Amino acid sequence: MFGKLLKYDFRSMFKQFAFIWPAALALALVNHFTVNGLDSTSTVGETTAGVSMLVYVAILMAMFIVALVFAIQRFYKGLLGDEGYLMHTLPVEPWQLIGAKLLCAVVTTFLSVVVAILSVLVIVPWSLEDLQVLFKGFQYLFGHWDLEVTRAFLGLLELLLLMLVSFATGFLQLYLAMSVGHLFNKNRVAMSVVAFIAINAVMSTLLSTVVPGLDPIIWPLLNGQSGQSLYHRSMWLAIAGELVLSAIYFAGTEFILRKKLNLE
Amino acid sequence: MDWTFTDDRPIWQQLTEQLTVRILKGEYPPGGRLPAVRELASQAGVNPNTMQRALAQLEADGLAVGSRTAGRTVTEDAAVIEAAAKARARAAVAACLEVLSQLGYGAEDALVFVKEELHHA
Amino acid sequence: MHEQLVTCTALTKRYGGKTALKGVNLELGRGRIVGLLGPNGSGKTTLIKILCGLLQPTEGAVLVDGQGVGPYTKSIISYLPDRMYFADWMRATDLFDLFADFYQDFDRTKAMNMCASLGVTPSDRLKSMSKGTKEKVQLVLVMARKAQLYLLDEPIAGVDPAAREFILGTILTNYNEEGTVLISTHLISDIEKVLDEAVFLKEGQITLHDTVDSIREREGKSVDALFREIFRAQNYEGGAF
Repeated sequence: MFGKLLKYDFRSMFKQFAFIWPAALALALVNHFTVNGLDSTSTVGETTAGVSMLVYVAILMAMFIVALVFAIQRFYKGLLGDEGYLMHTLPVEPWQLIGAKLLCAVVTTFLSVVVAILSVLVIVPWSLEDLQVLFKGFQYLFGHWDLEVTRAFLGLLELLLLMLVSFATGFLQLYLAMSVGHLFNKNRVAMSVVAFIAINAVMSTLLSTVVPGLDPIIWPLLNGQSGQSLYHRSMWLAIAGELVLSAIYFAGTEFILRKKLNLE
Repeated sequence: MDWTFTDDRPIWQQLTEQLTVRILKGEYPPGGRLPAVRELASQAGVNPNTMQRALAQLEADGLAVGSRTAGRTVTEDAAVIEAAAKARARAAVAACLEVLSQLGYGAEDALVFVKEELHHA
Repeated sequence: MHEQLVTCTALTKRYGGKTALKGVNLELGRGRIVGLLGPNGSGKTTLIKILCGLLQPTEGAVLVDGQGVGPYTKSIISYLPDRMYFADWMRATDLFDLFADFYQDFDRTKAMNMCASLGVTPSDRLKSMSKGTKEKVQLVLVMARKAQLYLLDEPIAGVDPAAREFILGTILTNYNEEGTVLISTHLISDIEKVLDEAVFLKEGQITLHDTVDSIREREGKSVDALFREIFRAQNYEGGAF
């Protein structure tokens, strides 16, 4: 059932982004030529390059805004609006509904980041020789795979994981805020905004009181570590912290949807 | 013929009566198959359980034979049909006499009215 | 299979200070059509929403086929809400796919046949459909399931009498005869002849639950007439507050 929910969430996601992702990459390609190819001393060349860069930056910003709005709308309209009548009467558990929305939102944002990075790579000046050099570099890396490379690779993976987990925390905080706003009979949208601010306030107070209390646990882990080991340990601590926050927000949202659901 | 219902009595009783009339009129001829419960129910716009009850009464009256699963047919027994027709005729006369008696007419008057009416017709 | 299909015990629902249901006890068997009758605001929608899991009761318990409300009960309940619930970009066929995916008892062929007989083109986008056509699509989705319990919330409100006949006809010809249909409405004269049982809901409490036949036999009047008497009296009482 969870897989089926995911199928429908991802389908509607691809409908939404089928245009904007290719458009961002296509504009990056245009910029590749306008930035590198046009005669920058001529006014026409400069203006064209300027405009195409502006459009490119605009579409990248639009992409992330759309990703955020999409995640909020899928949750608010899909689970707390009229579509909720359908979703909450499907033979599934509330955690599956939230989980499917969350996974889809995180993947959407991640793919948007990937598209953004790819588009930057497309813009920078490169030639066939550059690609050959890059390829040789990789060849060397895989040919000399040792502990150092593994560690560096692991460090990247940790960074990636931290990014994904903090996306999840961000979305779950939004979900919780919307669910709390939904508990009110009037002005639900406004109350969701208030709830979001309130959650932030509560969490920062809580963190400033709880985290010093955790020092005896955290310091021995980091103390005396240096370089790589310090990096890895602090990454994992950060990931764990985000996971704890995610779990709290998820549990709160699940409780409200399971026990306090009250569609208009 | 349309199905019509009044408010004062259970619907199944009214269904039984209207089915009986249809049989007596020959709309459902002796030995002929009666439509399935669900079909009759949807024709009359009533609940299948209600129609089922009406048909059960029709069976109890001897007008319909067969089973729910195999399908029901109208009885071929002419005597049963005739008896049912006579019973309805008597009921109609009784109802008519009831109205006349409320108006203060007796049995003699009733016969006169009937003869006059037949003469006109 | 549990003997009673639906069992509500001392069901109470409060919204803030307002009480929508007060200690409702209700048992519904299988294979019947039941009218949930009451004026607007008497708690009909609240009761239905609790049965299909859209609301949690404040007190009391609900069992459907012997189980508490959850994925199992949702899988045997077919629910027609009092509003549109689908995304506009979808086609009716997309909804059929979705229902076929999530409900094992959904009969796609039946849905397509119903569309044909109701004059709906299932490949049209919902966006381009009229309100009446969308309501037909929703009715098709609900009735093309072979469910144990159909919960129909005000299916004939806001449509003309011809359309009412049509909707009731669709329900009668398509429901699963081993299942039970619960129809909420305040328009009783239109619906009375299709009902086995009537449940009167007054200010969140059940005041009468009996078969339509025995109500007519005992009272010598239609359920509709009885309903008008009871709820006209309520208006007078209401004036005293």
